[in-house]
Amino acid sequence: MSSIFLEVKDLSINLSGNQVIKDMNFKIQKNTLTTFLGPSGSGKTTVLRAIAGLNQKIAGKILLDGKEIQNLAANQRNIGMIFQSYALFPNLSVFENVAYGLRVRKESNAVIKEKVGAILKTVNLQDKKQSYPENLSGGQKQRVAIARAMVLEPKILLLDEPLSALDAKIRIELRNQIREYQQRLGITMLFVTHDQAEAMAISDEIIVMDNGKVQQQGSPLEIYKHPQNIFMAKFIGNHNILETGQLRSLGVEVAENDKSSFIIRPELFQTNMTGDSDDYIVVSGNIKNISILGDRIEYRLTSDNGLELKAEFLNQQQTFTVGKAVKFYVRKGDIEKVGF
Amino acid sequence: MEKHADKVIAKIVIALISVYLVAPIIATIMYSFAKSWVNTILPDGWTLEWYLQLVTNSDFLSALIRSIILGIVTTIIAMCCFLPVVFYANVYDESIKARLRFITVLPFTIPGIVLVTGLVRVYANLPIPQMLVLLLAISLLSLPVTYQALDNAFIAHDFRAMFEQALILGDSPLKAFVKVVIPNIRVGMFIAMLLTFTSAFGEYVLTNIILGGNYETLKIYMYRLMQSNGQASSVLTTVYFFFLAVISIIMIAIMKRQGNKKVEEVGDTKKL
Repeated sequence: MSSIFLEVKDLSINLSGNQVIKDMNFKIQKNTLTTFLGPSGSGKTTVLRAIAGLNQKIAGKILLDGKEIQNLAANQRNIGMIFQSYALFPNLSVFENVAYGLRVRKESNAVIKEKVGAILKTVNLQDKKQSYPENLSGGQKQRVAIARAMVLEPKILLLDEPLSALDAKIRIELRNQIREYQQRLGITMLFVTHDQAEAMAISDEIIVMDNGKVQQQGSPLEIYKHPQNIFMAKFIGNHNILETGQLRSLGVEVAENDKSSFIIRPELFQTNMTGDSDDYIVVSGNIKNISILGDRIEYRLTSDNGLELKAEFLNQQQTFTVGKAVKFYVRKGDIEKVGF
Repeated sequence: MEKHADKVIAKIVIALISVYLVAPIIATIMYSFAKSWVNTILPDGWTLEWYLQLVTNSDFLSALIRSIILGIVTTIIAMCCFLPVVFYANVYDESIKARLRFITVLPFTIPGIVLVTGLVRVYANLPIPQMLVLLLAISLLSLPVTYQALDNAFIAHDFRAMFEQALILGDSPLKAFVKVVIPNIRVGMFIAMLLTFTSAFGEYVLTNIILGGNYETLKIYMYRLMQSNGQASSVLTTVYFFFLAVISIIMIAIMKRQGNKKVEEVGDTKKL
């Protein structure tokens, strides 16, 4: 089991008079990749910048490897950061970009040559060391940025939406590359993104943020399967969210005074029952709309009692057309209760 | 048929405007090389005598040195004052750019004479050297061109991320600025410096009113010469014209090179 490596305690940040982060608390374990996930304006980058030392006006504590760092300047924290634009220095070659931090530390030329050579080999850019950033592809720029940060052996590497400017196919390739480096080099990474799929794909842990607060922290599966509140249920996945009365109309017994909401994940619908019929609820209705999602198909149906629901099946299972009367089944035990 | 007539008329108009603009320049250049040019269509002969007289004239050399000093010091003041402001506006607070743009157009809207009167009134009784008042005033007058050239230099890259990256890599803010920001805005800075230098070098109104005859710059000397010696004055005008032409060519060449580089970069990005 990994140990706590980064701890943020009661962090509050004011920007231009607005409190954008409110009493935030979270912990990150060593050698893991943790993702900050949230909609635009939720405060993800603000927290990342506070950890890096780029937001000076903060309240609360930031402990890195057991030491308080909130009062240290950015150049004294030994933290690596990769910006959305990669922030490569256009006037310097790949070698000099990577060597920049070592030169600041006044390392000897021999040490610089050895360390830069080794890290460029790790990111497979040995043959590009004399190139300039303007002549590199997006993926190569990202690898230079990773090499430049990693050559200083930072305690933690922060990545601020490094894939957001790229198209979908390259994003997938590069996010896998980031994960591979993280695991191969054994680095603690904190990755910011607004893309749920990206967060799910590469993270050990996800911290979901909204409105300057942590909404939930957990493993990707935990977050997806058990969203703690309505925001989480709406933000993560494509869940059906039902009020008590709506669920009761499907034949599920719910206490009168229960004000909770409930989610049914679309992929949990079945076209037939595989067990005791008492364990299932039956949703009868008509297909209203069909969306092909690639490997899956999403059916939107209007139930006989007027509910709008989404159900997803693997593409090869498609047997329905718009307007067709259908019966879908879902296990009662798969219905998840969420708070506010 | 009508289109052809329109084209011919357009060509004639352009030719007439060109002649109107170019003829005085050619006449001035010819006059500067003329032995004598009175009551004849063309000069009586050609000579370099007026040029030799000018370059050996101590008044001219002193005026030239004064103008160069004025240009250099103004450029230094303008860079020291405006570069940090433009950097701050572009990197940390873009919201102040609208206010800055308003301030930068003020020198266009306030006539020079009004500016001078204001400056003289405000600073007349203060123990501030008139020369300093002049330098600051000329720096202010150069603000529109200096600001625009510097501001354009910050468009090309994400300077905030680059600057902060240098901090994270261990540099102090000053070193990060010198090592990362300045090398990447050097072209814009160079153009801003050339523009500031030329506007200060050719300044007449402020210098003449604030310092008068106490500090004769090239422009003041040129006007004095025009009243006494037409040919010497045309020599000076020719030299001045070529000086500005060289600076303009340098700036156009730099901007063209930058433009080509950007087109290549866009091409490379599209290929990826």
